[in-house]
Amino acid sequence: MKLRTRIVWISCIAVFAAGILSDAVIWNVCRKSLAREALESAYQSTYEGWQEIENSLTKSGIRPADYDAISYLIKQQKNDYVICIHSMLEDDGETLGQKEVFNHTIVSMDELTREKFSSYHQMAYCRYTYEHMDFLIFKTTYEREIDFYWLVDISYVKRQLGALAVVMLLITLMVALGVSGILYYVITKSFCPLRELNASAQSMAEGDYQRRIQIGRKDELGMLAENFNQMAEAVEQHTKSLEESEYKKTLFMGNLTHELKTPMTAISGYAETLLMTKLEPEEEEEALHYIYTECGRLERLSKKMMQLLELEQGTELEFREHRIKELFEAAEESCSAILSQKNMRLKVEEHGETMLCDKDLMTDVLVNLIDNAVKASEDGSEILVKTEADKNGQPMIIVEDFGCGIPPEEQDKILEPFYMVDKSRSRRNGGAGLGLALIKLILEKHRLRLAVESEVGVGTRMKVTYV
Amino acid sequence: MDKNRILIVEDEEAIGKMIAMNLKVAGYETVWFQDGREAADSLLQDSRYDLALLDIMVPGLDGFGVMDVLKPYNIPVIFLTAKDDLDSKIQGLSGGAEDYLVKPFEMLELLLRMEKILARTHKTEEIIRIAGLEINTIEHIVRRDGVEIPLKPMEFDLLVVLAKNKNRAISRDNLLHMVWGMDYVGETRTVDVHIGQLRKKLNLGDNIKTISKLGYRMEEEA
Repeated sequence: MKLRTRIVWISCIAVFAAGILSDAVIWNVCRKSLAREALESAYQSTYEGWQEIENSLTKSGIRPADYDAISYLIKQQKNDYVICIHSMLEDDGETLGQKEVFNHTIVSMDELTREKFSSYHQMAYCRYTYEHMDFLIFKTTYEREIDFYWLVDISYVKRQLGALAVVMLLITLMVALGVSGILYYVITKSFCPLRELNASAQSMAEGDYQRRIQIGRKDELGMLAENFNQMAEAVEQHTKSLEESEYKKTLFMGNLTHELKTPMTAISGYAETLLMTKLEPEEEEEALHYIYTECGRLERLSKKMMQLLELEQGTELEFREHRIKELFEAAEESCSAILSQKNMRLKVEEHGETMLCDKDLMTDVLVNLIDNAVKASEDGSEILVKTEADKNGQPMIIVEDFGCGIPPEEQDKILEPFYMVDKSRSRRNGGAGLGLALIKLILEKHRLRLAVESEVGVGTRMKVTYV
Repeated sequence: MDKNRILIVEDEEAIGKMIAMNLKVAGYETVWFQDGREAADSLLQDSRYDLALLDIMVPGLDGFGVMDVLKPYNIPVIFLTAKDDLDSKIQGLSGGAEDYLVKPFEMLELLLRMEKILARTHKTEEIIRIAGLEINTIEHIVRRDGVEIPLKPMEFDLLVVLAKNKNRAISRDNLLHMVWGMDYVGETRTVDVHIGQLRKKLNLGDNIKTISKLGYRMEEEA
């Protein structure tokens, strides 16, 4: 059963029960007062009737034994329910026998004598029931010899009470229905957001994390919806980042296998050639040379890979305050071989700034940047390595070359692992496409950022800046 | 006898040289380009190729592009590539390539596939001349100085395989597969026996070399 139906049912029953209970109390009070009123009015009318009869009897001096006269008087009263009983008494008051004078015969003599009468004002009365009719019997005595029993029909009390009960029951029922109707409407209205929440949760379970709930309410449901939205947001973010990293991993693996395949093809191919074919001595030498150089390439690739892995696994870095001059000198020393190979030189410029960093890794960054710059440049050209203050006064390091430049559409991609702008050229230079990816990771650890400014044919400016 | 001319487009220096080296030894003439655009442009001057070996990811113009340029010249194409995803294979093969080899591949496999394609396009010689022998692959006859030398069918097939892959060692297992077929259940000893017969009947003791641990190689001094 739905919660809404259950709430409506329970409250409907509760309202109904409460109504019945109050009905019962009210009805009981009504019953008592009605009974009292009935008794009072019955008494009044009976008393008046009796007074009349008694007066007539006394005036006309009718004796108790004069049944016909009494009977006549009573008939004049037009009360069908008056019963006279004449008790013949001895002088000492003992009853000798009884003679009845009945107007009506619904009550027998025996029954009357069995009833217990209680007194009310100047008369005695009792209740009597005959075939669903309620009566009050009042008793009066004349000359101590004749007992008059006055039967007064009070069935109307019962009828009135019955009608009252039916009316009250109907009203209670209608109230209960009305209340449950209003409740149903209210609950339905306040459950609306729940339905939407439910639908959203369901669609979320099916993998749609973009759905949000629009509820302009500030109550508990509004809060729930807001929290739900926050949760959906968090889930969406999380899934997205997971998907992204998964995609990156797949891409990385694909690129890695590709980068591995080429040297492997060469190595195994040359080995096969050496084993299987009859070659000239110089050809054999050439084959061996290629096996050797391709092995070197594999080694470089695996070294870079290891470095990337170590960094990604979050090895502790040693942050110390270093003078940028030291970094430049260390980088220049490492690059001296490739620089002299292409007959190039560095133009270094710094102003005594310091930087909080891991010296080895930061030197690696500079070496990689200078290496890229050298590869992009013509023989004999110059590379600028300098510091400048950014707009916050923090030092930034700039490596600038005047080489081939990077096309604008490639500038976003160059930081991805294995990406090479000019594949064959980079390979010939011994690159694996991991240098900038490595730099990016190292800089991230330092809360630094790499900015690329480049124009084809003019040159490239690589800026290392604080985030 | 004209050598078959092969166009190679491969940007990796090591692999390009390797293919050229092997094809030269196997008796092909090769022209090697490292740039797809250069290869396509060169066809205007010289398109007398019997077969093209194309890498897909090359600078200038990629392998698929080069294949489109080759189509009007009716030059069959084999792709050699590190891309082994299904999409690339389908694109390559449905685009009209004869074959698709994923790196790393074995040279012997490449040579066999090339030979098959050349045989289909009737670019192979019907008569192979080697070590003073004249092997007619149509009539299944071997002659030395015009005199026919009788050979059993399996001996003849073995001789053809060795002659076609001259200067290249072939393992006993591979010989078994290539001559007797993939289904043949036998010992590599069978190969040794037939090699012995060939050496005796054709007087090829010096030409058919036993390469220890590997197999046999038919050599001919250049």
